[in-house]
Amino acid sequence: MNARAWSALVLALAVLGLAPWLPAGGWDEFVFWQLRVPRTLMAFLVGATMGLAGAVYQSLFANPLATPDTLGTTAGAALGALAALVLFGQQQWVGLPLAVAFAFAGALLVTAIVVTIALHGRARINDVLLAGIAISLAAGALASGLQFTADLMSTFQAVRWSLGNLAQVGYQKVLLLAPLAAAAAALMLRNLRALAALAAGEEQAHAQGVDVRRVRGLTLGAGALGVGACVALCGPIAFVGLIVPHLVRLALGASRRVLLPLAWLWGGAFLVVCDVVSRVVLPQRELPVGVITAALGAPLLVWLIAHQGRRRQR
Amino acid sequence: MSTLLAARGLSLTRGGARILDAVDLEVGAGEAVAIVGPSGAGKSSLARCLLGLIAPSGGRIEIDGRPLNQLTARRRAGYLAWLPQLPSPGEPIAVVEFLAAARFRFDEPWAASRARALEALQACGIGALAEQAVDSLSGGELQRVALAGLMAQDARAFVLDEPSNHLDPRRQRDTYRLLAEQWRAGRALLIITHDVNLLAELVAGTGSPAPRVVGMRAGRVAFERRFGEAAMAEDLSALFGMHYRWVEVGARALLLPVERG
Repeated sequence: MNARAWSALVLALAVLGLAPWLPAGGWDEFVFWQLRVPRTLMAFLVGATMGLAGAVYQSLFANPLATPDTLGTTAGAALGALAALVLFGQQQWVGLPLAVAFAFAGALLVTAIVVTIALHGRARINDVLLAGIAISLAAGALASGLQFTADLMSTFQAVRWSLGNLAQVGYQKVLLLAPLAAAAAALMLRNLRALAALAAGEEQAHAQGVDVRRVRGLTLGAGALGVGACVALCGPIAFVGLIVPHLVRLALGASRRVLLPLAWLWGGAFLVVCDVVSRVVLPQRELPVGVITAALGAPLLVWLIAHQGRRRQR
Repeated sequence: MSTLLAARGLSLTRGGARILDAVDLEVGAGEAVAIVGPSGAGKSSLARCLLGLIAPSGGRIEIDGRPLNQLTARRRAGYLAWLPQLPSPGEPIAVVEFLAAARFRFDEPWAASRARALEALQACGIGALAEQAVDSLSGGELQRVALAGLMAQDARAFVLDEPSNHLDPRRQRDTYRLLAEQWRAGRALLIITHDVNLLAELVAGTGSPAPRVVGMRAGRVAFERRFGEAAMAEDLSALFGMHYRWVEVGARALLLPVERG
């Protein structure tokens, strides 16, 4: 099956996410248009952004374990959200919970520190990876300290937030995320040829005419913008950014011209499917979608590792 | 012959150690120059400085008469292509796609890059590998694919760090013959090598002038000679601390390390 056929298949799956709730007038129509459609759109946008950012980070770091969380984006967002919940509770800002704005600011602030390190002249790409891990740990430690001093309600809300959640998504959140996700995807895909050259390694790409530092800054910044917005609006949703690029790679190879656009498409479809599962797996109640992505993603990852091991032995 | 690449008084210090010490080197347009020297002499560091991968501590680098740091990355890539010691792409990317990416410097559609990449593969005699994944290639195949990548990049000079490493003797010879073709087509070559005898392949069966050999020791230029000059045996003996002698094998003179006496 070629790339187009695969794409058609995953798009069909994404559309199927809507199918069980086709409108039949009255309450059903309200549920379909006001709840399901924005939720499905949101799931697609978040999944697509995470999938693409994962593929771009894995390409940039030449590391299959790099994820959109690698630069500390999620840890920064978590710290921001927790700080808002502890300091301001459920207060709103222009119609959104203050936690969303704080999470976005936290994500960008923490990532900005890592990107600054990435732009430093002598920083090798592995140094950037290590800096991301170190800063994630530091942000996590700060968050733990904050949680220790918080009251029970704030702690409970922070834990719920950290599970990832696509419920209670209206069109307002979709409209907020859409331009940021589109800008992030456009910026990352604009560097597709440079990322293709980087498959030969940073030094070889430099010799081939790639301004490596500029590409690093642009793609990491764009990724942080998209991922930061996703995490702020929906909480951290694990495994999409890790798993989806590997699925594409396994099915269609690692050519960046296929991998990057399809990681976007498949990422969106994967999260839509996970969201449907999270709605129907338990009768009368929903599971947070982060639980499903991790529950599906972890075995998939293990299977992939085993499969790659067998492939290498051949 | 105009100067294509020049290092003037180049020095490099890392952690207090002097890696390059006032190195002067010129490579003319279409000239072949080999750099030889013991491990740690600063050969690879010199190449990496010339490519802009390391910022030197002192001195100047000029490409076609202009300071290196005044060239955009794309323009520099039009002058210099690089073959590192160990090209190692560890991903399942088709060879032709991998090479098409080497044409980053050109503002052209992907299909055109792919077509040029195929031509480069065919010119290297490895057109059959086009659709194979780069992570499934043997060391020798990978080295030839990397060489085809240099041709796809189509720069005016190739900087090659041990281009025959990991190759069996026949592939070593074939690699140098391929480089000879590129040289005759007008490209300049800057080759870092431990095996000076392979330089004979560059001029085998042609009337081309012998390549220039630059010996390096402890970050300095120790000597400069034309390959084939009798005094090179003494130069290499001093450079490597071994006794080198010219030995006639058939129609060819080779430099071999031999026991004294």
